[in-house]
Amino acid sequence: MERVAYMYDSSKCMGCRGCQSICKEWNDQKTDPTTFNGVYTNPPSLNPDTRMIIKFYDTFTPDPNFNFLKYQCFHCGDPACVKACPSGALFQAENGIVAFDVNKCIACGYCHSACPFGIPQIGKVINKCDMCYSRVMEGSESDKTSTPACVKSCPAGALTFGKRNDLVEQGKKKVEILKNKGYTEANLYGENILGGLGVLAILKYSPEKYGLPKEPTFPNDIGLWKGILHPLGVIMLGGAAGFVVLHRALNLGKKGGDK
Amino acid sequence: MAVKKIEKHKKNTRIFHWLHLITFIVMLWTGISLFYPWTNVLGMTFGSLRNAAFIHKYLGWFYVVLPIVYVSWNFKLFSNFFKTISTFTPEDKKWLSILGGYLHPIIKADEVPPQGKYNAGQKLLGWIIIVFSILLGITGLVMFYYALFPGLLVRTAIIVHVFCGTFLGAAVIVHFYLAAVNPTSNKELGTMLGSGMIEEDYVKHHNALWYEDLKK
Repeated sequence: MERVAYMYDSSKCMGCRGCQSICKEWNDQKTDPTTFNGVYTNPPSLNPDTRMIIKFYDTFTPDPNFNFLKYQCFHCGDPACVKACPSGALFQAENGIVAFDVNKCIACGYCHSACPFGIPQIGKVINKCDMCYSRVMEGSESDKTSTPACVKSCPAGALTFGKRNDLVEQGKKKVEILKNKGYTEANLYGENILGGLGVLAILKYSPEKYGLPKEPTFPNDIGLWKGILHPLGVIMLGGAAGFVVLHRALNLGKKGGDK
Repeated sequence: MAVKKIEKHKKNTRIFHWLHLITFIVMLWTGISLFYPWTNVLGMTFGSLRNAAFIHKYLGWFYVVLPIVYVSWNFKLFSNFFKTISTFTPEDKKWLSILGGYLHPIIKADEVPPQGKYNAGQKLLGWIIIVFSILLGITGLVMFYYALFPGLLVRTAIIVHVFCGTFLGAAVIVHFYLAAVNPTSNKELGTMLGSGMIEEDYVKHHNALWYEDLKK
């Protein structure tokens, strides 16, 4: 099946946070009051009841100027969280969406530590963006679409949902336009990193300015866990058990120091 | 004729050993369930894998606190024990080279050097338990507060944790076997889990150096 994705265009985003509100609404997430601490990003970070936030930046240019980033799970093509998940709660669907089954989650937090962005949040169980998995897979009865809620809600047209390959083409063109307009750092974030992100972002400035890693890499040490320590554990525990059974069966240690 | 007996383990030590034993078994049981989810039957003991994880996380606190309480409460007992396991004599080296005769005749052992209150193998186990338990505790805390630490550190902690857990599990299997099943040493079980008393003849044979100390 072809990978689906959505693309966020930071040059079109106006920071209205309609996507953030609809995300809460559609996914039925609790909202807690927050306090203002000098930054408009609200809540200040993702939390177990908040799957996505719009981040506000006002220091990119000398003149007062807002920049935004829609921040949530990026749906890696090569998701480390899925590999790290010990209970099989996280999975990658055929269309590339990284979703989860809360009933299987054991709240160990391994996904949070495996994620190159530290995205998954664990309260009683995991919570993160699942690209409105149920909407995309089954469509929404009420509004007759099958796009994620955030994409549906965006009044500025900053969010586009579709086949990933098409979006990449579209995004590259937009980056060229931005570069011609003088945004020399403009880039399409997520084209190739981590197996290609399922959430593409057209950024006006370099990813680091937004607090995003420019070249995040897949944490290969996760492979050590299942690849080496799993069999090693069986060998040690099974070896000890086998050893004592054999010791008894062969009736060893009778002579020498012991009667 | 009543058999003459010597007290080997004090009451507090025996209570500690019981509590530690129960905690350790539950921790190992739930830990294996989490490490190998295909051993679903283990997780199901506690209803679900999530319950197993919950128990593992919160009982872990008890597993960390219990030895701290025991050691600070019975510091003298512990420092004696620590002194004992810290001195490896030439006899201990010889004991280890023939594995105490426990593998006779595969490893020939016609003479086993006399041992103190704990033989070289037990000393080694003491070290393994102390070192690996501390490592399990530290890495466990990092995993408990995973959100406060960088991902790489947490992932390293997970790797160290599962290695220590499975290794300690294997060591305890051997420990249990020698103390409870192996015919030449299974009297130890009743001593630690029961009255703390052990037969004088057994001590003379197994812990000759300790017996001499007691005679003085």
